Amino acid sequence: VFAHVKDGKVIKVEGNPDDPITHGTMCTKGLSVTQLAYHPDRVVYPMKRVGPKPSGKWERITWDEALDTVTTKFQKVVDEFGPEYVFVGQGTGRDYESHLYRFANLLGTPNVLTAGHMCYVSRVSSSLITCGNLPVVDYYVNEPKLIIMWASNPMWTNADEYKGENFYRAIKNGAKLISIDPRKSFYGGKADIWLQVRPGTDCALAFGFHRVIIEEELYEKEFVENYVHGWDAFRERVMQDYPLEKVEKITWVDKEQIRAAARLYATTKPAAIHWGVPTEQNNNCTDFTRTAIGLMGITGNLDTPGGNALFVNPPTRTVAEFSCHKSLSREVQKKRLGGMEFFLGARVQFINPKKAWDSIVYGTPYQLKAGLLCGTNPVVSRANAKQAYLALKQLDFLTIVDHFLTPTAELADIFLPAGTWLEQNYVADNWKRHGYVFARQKCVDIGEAWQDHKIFLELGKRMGQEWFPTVEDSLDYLLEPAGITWEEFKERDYLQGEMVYHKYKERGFSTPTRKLELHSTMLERWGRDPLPKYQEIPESPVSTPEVAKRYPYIFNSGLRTPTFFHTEMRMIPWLREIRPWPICEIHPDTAKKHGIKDGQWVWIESPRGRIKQKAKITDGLLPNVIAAEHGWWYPEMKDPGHGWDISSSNIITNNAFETCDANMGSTNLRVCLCNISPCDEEWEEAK
Amino acid sequence: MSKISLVFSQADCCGCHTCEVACKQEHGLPVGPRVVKVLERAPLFMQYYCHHCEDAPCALSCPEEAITIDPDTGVVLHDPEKCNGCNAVEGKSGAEKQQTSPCKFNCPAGNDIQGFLGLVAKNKYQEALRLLKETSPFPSICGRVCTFPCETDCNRKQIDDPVSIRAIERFLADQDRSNGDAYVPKIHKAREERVAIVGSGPAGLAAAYFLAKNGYKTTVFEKLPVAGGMMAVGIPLYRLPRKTLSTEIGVIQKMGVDIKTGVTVGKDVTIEDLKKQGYKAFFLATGLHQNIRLNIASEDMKGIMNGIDFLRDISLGNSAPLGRKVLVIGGGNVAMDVAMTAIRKGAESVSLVALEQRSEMPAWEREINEAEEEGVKFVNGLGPKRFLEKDGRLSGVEFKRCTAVFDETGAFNPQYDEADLTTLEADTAIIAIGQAPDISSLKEQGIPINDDGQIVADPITLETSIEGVFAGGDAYYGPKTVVEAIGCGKEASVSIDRYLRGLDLYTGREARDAQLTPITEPYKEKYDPAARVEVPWLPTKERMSSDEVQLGLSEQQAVQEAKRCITCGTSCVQACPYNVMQFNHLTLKAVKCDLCAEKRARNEAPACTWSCPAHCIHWGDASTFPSGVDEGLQRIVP
Repeated sequence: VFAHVKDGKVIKVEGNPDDPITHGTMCTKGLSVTQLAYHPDRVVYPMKRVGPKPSGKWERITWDEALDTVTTKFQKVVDEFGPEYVFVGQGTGRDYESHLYRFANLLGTPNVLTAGHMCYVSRVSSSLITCGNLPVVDYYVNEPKLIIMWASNPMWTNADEYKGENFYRAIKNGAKLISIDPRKSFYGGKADIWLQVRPGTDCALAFGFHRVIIEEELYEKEFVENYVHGWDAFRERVMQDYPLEKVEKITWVDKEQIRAAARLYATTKPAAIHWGVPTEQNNNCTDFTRTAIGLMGITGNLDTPGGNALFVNPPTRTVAEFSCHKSLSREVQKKRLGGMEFFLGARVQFINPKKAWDSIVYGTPYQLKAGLLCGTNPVVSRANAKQAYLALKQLDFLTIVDHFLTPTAELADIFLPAGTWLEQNYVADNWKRHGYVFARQKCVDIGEAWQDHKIFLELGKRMGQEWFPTVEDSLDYLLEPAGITWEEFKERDYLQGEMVYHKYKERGFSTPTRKLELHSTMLERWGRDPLPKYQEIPESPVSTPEVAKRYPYIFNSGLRTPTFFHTEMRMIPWLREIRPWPICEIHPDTAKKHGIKDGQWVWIESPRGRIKQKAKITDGLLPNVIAAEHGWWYPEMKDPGHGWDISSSNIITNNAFETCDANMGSTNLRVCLCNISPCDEEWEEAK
Repeated sequence: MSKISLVFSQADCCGCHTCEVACKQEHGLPVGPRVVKVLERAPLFMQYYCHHCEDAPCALSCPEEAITIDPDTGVVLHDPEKCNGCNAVEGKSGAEKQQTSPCKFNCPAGNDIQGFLGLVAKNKYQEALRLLKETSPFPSICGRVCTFPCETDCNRKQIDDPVSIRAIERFLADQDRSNGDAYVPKIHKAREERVAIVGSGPAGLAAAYFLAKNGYKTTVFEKLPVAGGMMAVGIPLYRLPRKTLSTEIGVIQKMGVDIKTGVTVGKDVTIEDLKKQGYKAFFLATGLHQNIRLNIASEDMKGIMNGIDFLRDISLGNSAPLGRKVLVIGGGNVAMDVAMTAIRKGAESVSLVALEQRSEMPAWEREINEAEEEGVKFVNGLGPKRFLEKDGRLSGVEFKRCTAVFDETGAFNPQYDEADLTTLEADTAIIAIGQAPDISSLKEQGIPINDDGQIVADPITLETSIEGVFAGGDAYYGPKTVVEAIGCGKEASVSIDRYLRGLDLYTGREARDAQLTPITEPYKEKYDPAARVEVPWLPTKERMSSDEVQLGLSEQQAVQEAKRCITCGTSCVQACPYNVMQFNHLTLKAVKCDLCAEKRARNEAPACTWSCPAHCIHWGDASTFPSGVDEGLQRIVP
């Protein structure tokens, strides 16, 4: 991206046509960065809360006072109780995990609370034990001839490796498309085959694909024989447990459609699975990822040009190395909240959020005393948001790093102002796995905001940790293995890894058996089922028919918007204008049954609470599914709650451990049961 | 430099709104004006963007000449220096300027009324007429017989009386005709597809007009020997001189529309035959040309006629055996027309007998008064019981007293006192109690008809259950006005155009129940204080011998009246057929796409184009666009 700076102010941003990922295209969020960076409500100096929690009463302080307050408090907790009593957390991947984790690791706490438990990192963790790396669609070097768009909308939004531009270029170049989505979206409209899957049953559908491919012997025998560990056992499970009739019954997808899609996928080469986060945000997180990787492998599409590649990143220091993951002792690691239970999460150093909330609220197994949350708004974004709110309200001491006073920030004691992407130097995308890193260069300083990296670096130094004099020095360290400095990197714009395909043929996969482990030796060692399986969604018409009597609809949350990213951006005028209110999609028959009109406010209720959103009536989804947006709060409401519990889908969702993925700890943000009714209550549309 | 085109490919639009935000960023636009806008109706999306029209109605409508077409590039440019935001005043009628004014909002044809009034006020009659012709083929007819819903909510009423819009429309049309050659709109681009229209009434001819404008080869089939439908055989001559009608129909023929009179589709030729002849789409607008019968004994007796036939016979110059004492039965506008026509045809006395009390009669007040002035006697509250005969001819009608016309629910359900009888003498009775369609030929061809005899079609697209066959006008929705028919014909043309180009028929057309925000305060600073000019009518005595009873405005009167418009909306916003002209409530000026003139001057691409992840926006020389990029949408019916 090019930023145009005039009189020390960014006035405009434009895409860089030479960018190998975006080719100069941008999204609505990126294009409105000037309204983010110069927003009148943005907090650009450190503050401390001066009223009770949450009173909305804040007072400006100096960086010195802010950092001293935080480090003194943290040190006190470390001294009195131990480092594990302090937690550190972040939201979505924002390129500062290297510095955040280094701060946490050097502090000595294993309790890092990120979105990773149900988003991307959970996919990475399952991939690591299956094939050693995350398979990513090869849009960048080659192009697939067939794409399975599995629960993703990259044309609107995506934080991982993908940009919609690359996907659509492949489609325009003639790639076939299979859309797997409960909704008939843009992709369903374009697809050769659209599988309207019951929300949350993707793993069963993946087994259906395996069933067809095995039955019709459409798999690559040479690959299966030489590079798969546990093929026979896996095959037996597929043949025994997943006849197509059963898969149809679970997924509500016609078995002949499954057959046609599986055939198309297995016989078109190269083919790639472009998967989205809904496959992770339920109890089948680990096993869906493993089953899908199985499909890539046995059809010969893994680490193949135009398939799902295992990209080679440029030789920069990884997040794990930079942040000294290994510095945590075994003893400290044992103190990680839920670490023994959700061991796959623990392996990539995150915890399940309910473990943290339970610790704060109930003191089990011990009571967290202080925390630092960076770029995250868990009282809106985490399952069972009411518990998150209660816990953070109760916490002794909380520091927030953010741009705005979000409903979560209002529960903090200290607010540290972070810079936007216009205000930071960093080796961007270093945590991603598409084979590139980019030189994100600082254009301006705004107020007293610091880039997040500097905040962790300065906090760490004050706590006696081993850091670098400046952020740029830390970037030199990150780049060192690539043989260049930050200054040199800035001239280069980006680095690309030297891509080699079919690496497994030379050296096997990076797993204990050097094979693609459909039978996981890691899971076996932990006493878990080493083979993947589909487990019914914990709250569904199938598993809880008695609940379904009162709540007859499937609540399918996380409906994407083209203008917001999770809980962000609701205060950006250009974006809010396009999408002023939260939308829930309702089938016309269902709407008629409840007397709901298009554009009307609707109550959505689950056993855990109720919210209101505006109805959008569409026949693009099944009559018994309600698709609802997530992430809503109302920055324009000036009370310190900012409407956190009015429309957020997570008032409805559940975070009970039995609804989580048993290995990963992924919460089920996506699927539960609900009922709807028209909302007649007068509500001043506060804007 | 050659003409620069801008096309958003609808097929590739993913609805990400990036173009919108890129545009806002580039031009620093606040919340409000959206020069580019994406409508979401997944899996399809529709982009609203400036098409830089060759004939640019926005440019045409601007009385300040603030919008011009760049002669080198064809890009339509807006000059903020010249634009006064249609007299926008800070804090007054600001935000509302984005919406249409009540006149346009209420006009079924969607005429940019403020636009043509502004041009008339500046003596730009030809421009004003062309602007009118963008949305209506019949200014001359509407200028005479329209029910002028445009005047009902006119914001001038907040000061005194509404602007006399209909009279100014007529003035413009008369000006145009008096020039000799009436203005003929330009055909956009010839297309190969043939469209058949059944019925040459205002709905059928309007559809033909807009289809012809879009380049389609259009044929209109008319059962009667003359074209025009009810405009030719229903509206009395003294209201609508037939020369006026033939001029406007002549323009449609000059645009390439072939009108075949005396051909009954379903009898002389079937839809199947026409399909074989290569017609790809059909529009059925056959109207209501049959009478509703009273269904009482001896209704076919000599001396009894019915209104529709009577008016048709008079219009066609056929003989209509009228006696001396005429009773007209019915209380609607057709009954008034019949009564006044009977007087002109030499009846000694004409009495009009209506079920309703005077205040309940469905005819307009204006027409009732007119009839009374001309000597029609009114008898209210009676319903016919039986016809009386003498020497094989009608001698009178016996009526019973009507005690209630409507029931508690407001439905038409007359109650009578059968004992309270009145006999009125007459040698002629003309029954004008309503119209019905002639559906026999349609039914035979499988066209779906409901119990009320109306053609069944989708309320948004007007498509019947037979693919490619659309229906509209009175035969579809029942008896309505000329201007309603124009609006309906235009909607049909949009559907047919989309149908023939394989586009979704619904996108962007559902939300028609929009509401107008009343303006906060009318612009009073500079409004012209003159009172509304009343349209002159001939003195009653002179009416009987004249072609036309209502007179037009003089040029001076028309200009004076046009100046009374308080410009509560924005002309160009209302003129834009693609709904993309915007009003910036911060600068109080119009704002539109200039295709990023500044960027182009630096050899850079327009902002919306480079940011789109689907690469669905194409600009430059249209011949270089990839095939399959559609030509953009048909102009959107307001």
